Amino acid sequence: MIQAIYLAFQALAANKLRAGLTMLGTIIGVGCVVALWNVGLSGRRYMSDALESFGKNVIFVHPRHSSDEEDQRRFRYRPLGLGDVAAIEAFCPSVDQASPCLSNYTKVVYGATFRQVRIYGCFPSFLAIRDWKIERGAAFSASDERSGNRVVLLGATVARELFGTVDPVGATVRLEREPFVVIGVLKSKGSFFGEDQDNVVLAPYTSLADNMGWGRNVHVVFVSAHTKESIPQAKNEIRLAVRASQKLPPSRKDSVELQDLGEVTAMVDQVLVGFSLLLGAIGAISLLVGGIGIMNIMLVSVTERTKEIGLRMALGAKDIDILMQFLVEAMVLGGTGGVLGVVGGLSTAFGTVQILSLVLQRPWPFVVSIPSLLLAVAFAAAVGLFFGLYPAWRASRLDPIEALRRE
Amino acid sequence: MPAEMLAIPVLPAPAARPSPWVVESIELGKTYGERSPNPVQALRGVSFTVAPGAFVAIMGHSGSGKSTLMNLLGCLDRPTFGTYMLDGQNVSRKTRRQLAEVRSHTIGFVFQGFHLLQRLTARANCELPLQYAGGLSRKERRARASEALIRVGLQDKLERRPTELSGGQQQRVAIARALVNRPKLLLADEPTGNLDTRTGLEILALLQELNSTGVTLVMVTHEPDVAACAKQVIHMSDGLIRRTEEHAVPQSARQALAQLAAEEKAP
Repeated sequence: MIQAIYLAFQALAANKLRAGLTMLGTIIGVGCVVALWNVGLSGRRYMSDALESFGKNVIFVHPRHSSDEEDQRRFRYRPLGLGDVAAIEAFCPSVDQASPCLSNYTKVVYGATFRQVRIYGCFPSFLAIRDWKIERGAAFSASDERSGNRVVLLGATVARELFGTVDPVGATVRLEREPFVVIGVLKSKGSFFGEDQDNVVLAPYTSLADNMGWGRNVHVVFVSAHTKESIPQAKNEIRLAVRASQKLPPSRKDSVELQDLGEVTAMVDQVLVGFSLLLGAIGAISLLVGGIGIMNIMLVSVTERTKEIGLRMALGAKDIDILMQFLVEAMVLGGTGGVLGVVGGLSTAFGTVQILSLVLQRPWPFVVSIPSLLLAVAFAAAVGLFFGLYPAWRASRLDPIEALRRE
Repeated sequence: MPAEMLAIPVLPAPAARPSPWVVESIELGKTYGERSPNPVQALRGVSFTVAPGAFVAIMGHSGSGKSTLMNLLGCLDRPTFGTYMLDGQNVSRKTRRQLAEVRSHTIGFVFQGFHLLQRLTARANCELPLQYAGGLSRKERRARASEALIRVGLQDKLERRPTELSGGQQQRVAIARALVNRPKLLLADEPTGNLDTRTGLEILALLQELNSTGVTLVMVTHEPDVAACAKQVIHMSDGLIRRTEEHAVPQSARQALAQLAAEEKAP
C-alpha cells in the first residue's frame, strides 16, 4: 500500500503543473472549510472570553426612545429615576444587585496630560455587577456614595496613559475642572468588541449627580441576575417593577428596553452561522468542482496511459490491481490537495485572527482542532476516491489487447 | 465452409495428468464479430504442441492470424472455439481474473516496442510482474529483479531508466522482466522488429542462450532470418497452419554476429 502511494506520487510528479491545477479546487475547498472552522472556533472562544470579562449575568435597562409621531427628528422617552432602581432592587427576586449609572464621555486631566474617557457615575455595587476587580488602592464605599465624595477609580488604560509608571493612588485628577482624588486602579478587562473597557473612570453616582450638577438622572441601570438561567425571569420582573414604579397604565407600552449579553451572543452567533454557511457553501462547491477536476484529469490520465494499463495487465495485473492503482492516484490527488488546503486554511485563519486581534484590541485566541484537520484531509481524499471511481473503473475494464495496441 | 461446421465442441477437461506439453493447441479458433453480419475468422482452427525447452517461431504475413494466435497463447484473449491447454491446464474458458493469474504465473511477454514504464528504473520495471504475482517480500522482489537483469547482462544498469538505455538494452530489460516470474512459456512478439540487424542478432543470441538453459520460447516474426534461429517454424496464412518445419541445427545468432563483424572489417 505504501508502495502504491509512493508510485501514485511518482505518477503525479511526472506532471506537476497538471496535478497542481487539478488540486486547486480541493485546496480552495478544504482551505475555506478549515479557515472557517478555525476562525469560528477562535471566534467562539473570543466571545466567551469577552463576555466573561464584561460581567456576570448582566442586564442593562435603558429608557425606550420612541420617535414622535408628528416630528420624526424629535425623540421622546420617559427618563428613568432612582425610584425605578429602588423598585428593581426591592421587587425583583431574580435580581441580585442593581446600580444606576450616569454615563458620559469626558476629559480627565492630570497635570498637563488629559484623555477622553468613558465615565460612569455608579453605586459601589456596579463593581460587583461588572465583575470589576481592584488592582491597587480600594473601591469607593457606600459612605463615599452617600456623601458624594469626589473620588474616582481609574481604568487600567487611563492609569497607564496619564500616570505611566507612577502610582496614581492618592493623586488628584480633574474632571470638568473639578478635582477628584484617585483612590484605586481597576484591573484590566481588555476590550469588548472593539471598545476598550479599561478606558474608564468610575465615580460615586452622587458625586457626579449632585456635586458636578449632572442631576439625578439615570442613563442606564446595570442589573445582575442571580444566575444565567434566571436572566429571562429577571427581565420580566424588572419590566413589571418599572411599570409599577412609573405607574404606567396597561395601555401604555413599556418605557424601558432591556438587554442582556445573551442577545449579543445570539447576534454574534448568527453572524458566525451566516459566515459558516457562506464559507461552507464555497467549500462545498469548490470541493465539488475539485472532485470533477480530479475525475476529468483521471479520465485523461487513463486515456494517456492506456498502453501502460495494457502492459500491466499483460504482466499479470488483475482488474482490481488497475482499479486500485488509479483509485490510489485519485485519493493521493485529493489528499494532497487536502493537506495543502489545510495548510492554506490554517494560514488564512491565523492571519484573520491576527487582524481581528488588532482591530478588536483584544488578543483573539487562535484555536486549532486537530481532529477537524485530519477530517478535512480524509474528506478531500474521499472526494478523490469518489470522483476517481469511474475513471479507475474504466481503466480496469480495458481490453489488454486493445490497450497494448494504443499509442 | 460455414463457421458452425468448423466449430468443434469444447473438449471435456481432461483429468489432471502431467502433460508432456507446455502448449497444446487443439483446433483453436477465433472469430471476431461473431454476431455481426460479416464476422472475421482470424483463426480457423489450429492444432500444434510446444514441448518444454522448445523454441518455436510462428511466421506469417500480416493478416495470417499469427497475432491472434499470439494473443490466445498469451491468455490475453479467449478462443471462440477449440481448446488451449497451457502447462496441463485448460485455459480456454477461464474468466478475466483467472487469465490474469495465468499470465502472472505462467507466461512472460516480450514485445516489439519493449513497453517499459519510463518513470521506473530497470529494476523497478522488472519488479512489476512480481508485485502482481504477490507472495514475495520487497527485498525478495528486488533480489529476483536484480538476478533477472544480471541474467540478461545488465548487471551495471540496474538503476537506469529506459531513456538512459539503448534499444537493445531496453529489450534486454523487457526480457529480464519476462523471466522474473520464472514462467513456463516466454512469448516474444517480433522481439527484433524495432532493432537494427546487429542489435537484433544480439537479442536473438540472448534468447537462444536462455532457450539452451531450458526456457520454452514461442516467437512471432515475419522475418525468415529471425525465424531461422528457432528450432521449429510454424508457417501461417489465412488463419491456418500451412506448414511446419524443423531445424535440426538452427542458425546460431552468435555465429551470425561474428560473421557480421567479420564482414564489417573486410571491406
